Amino acid sequence: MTEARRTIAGTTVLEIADLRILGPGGREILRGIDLHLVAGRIQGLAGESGSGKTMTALASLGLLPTTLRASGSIRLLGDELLGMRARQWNQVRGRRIAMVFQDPSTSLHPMLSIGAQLTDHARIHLRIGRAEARDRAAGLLARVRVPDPEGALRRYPHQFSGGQRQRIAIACALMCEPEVLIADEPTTALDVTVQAGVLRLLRGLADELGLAVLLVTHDLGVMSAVADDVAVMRAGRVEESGERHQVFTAPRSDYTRALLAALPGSAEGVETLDDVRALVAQEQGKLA
Amino acid sequence: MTGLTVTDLRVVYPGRPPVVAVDGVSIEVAPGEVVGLVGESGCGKSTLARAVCGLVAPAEGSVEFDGEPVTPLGLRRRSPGLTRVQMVFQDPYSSLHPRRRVGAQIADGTRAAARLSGADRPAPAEWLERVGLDPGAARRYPHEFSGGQRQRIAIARALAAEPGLLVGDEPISSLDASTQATVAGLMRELTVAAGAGLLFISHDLSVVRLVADRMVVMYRGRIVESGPTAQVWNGPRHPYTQALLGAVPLPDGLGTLPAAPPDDVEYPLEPVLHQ
Repeated sequence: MTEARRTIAGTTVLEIADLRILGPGGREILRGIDLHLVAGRIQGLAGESGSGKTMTALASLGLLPTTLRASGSIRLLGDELLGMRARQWNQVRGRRIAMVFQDPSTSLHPMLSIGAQLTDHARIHLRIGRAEARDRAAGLLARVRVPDPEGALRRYPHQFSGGQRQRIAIACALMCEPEVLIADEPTTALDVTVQAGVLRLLRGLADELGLAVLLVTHDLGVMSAVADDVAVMRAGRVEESGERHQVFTAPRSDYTRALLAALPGSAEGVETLDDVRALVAQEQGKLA
Repeated sequence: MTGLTVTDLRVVYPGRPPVVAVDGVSIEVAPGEVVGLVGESGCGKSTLARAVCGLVAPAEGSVEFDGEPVTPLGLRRRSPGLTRVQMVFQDPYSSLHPRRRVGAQIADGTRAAARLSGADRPAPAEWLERVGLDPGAARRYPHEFSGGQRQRIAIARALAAEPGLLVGDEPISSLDASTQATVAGLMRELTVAAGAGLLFISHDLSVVRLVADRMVVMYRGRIVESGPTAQVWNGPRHPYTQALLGAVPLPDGLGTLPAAPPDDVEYPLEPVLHQ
């Protein structure tokens, strides 16, 4: 496997500034997002459903639905991505910015062998031959700890477990040695014991390959385990952003505090049944 | 015997080879007791829930509620006694009828209860208030509510039937993290207040820990550990329970990577039963 194009850890790789997205009828979906993805660090993006986490991720890949209009700036090592044409996006998407989706049983093609899915885009992007691409794919499958990498290339998605499929999807994303990896709820569809393995893998990839990772998740436990920096989104805005430990133990925004207070196991969160009772009573109180 | 009694239940799905989803499970839920059932996908916890409600037929063993066998659901109306087992499903988007008003759906539950005893029942609006929603919402349709609100409506409908046992099959997994503990807590409070038992099925161990009196861990169709929640949580003795609890990432901000058990590990099936 070639060791090309590694960004030096600590460099800002992707810079999202004042990103706004307007929906049909002028509805504001994102209202000015600022995020910095740094090589070797995992930036967590938290928030409830509908807060704009996934829209931020899709905008960074040029995958927004055509009915939406984006403004602001997304720079990849200085190059502006917003407003690029489709052909220019093809040079970035999958090559310099790669994505891992939530559900590996739908993001992998059921009828294509793992080998075909891992090598297709790499052969086009990197202009390498079939043999070289397969070598690279086998190397990556070994890296993400899929057993028997050579044999795995000839097999199909249904022959793997959910956790292994997600590892394969991650290997697929890494084929072109991207600088940025966007993972949208990568462990939500997995069991907790399998999730633990995938989280360890993501952490290892950021540390060893110097990948800048954007981890979108609603699970603050997952966030706490692997993210270096955490941004909490709400209604299209970044409500709070900072280093992980600070956000979890000394949140500055009331919203983050409320979010954490509703979680079992967090520093200030619900710990006993009485805490849950208080939480329920508080909600009923809001109604009255 | 009051409450739910499941004895040596086996549920087999046909196929080649047949899938033994539940393999000799015995479990009891007493009135006023909350039992948390945890396990990973494919361990048989949903099949167990469905068997308890009569949605799948047991191959062997028995399911009894208040001493009466729970018969598999057929085309005809089941015996009125069995409406005392109610279920809250995982996905409130598909469990509520999209074209009927919320109040009418809650009234279905009330009617089921009225068949058992003719006394006056609370109106749907009152049920909505109990689950923390605006009583005026009875006139609205499910699409006008968020996921968390819909799940509250589904809970109201189930409780309106005045069940002796409420079964929740992953009732909080489709909700936002911030509402999960509240909805689970609400389910517990209302069920226990009504003197009913609650079988709470979830893969989210940290929430089960908060709401369950007793915790039951399933693995490969069997119960591998069960006991009072605090005991199981603080001192898991079965290797599978230990792996499961060790893999839960806690939102403590410390950046601790959860322990990942190897992919192909097989755990013993001998159960550990706490007293």
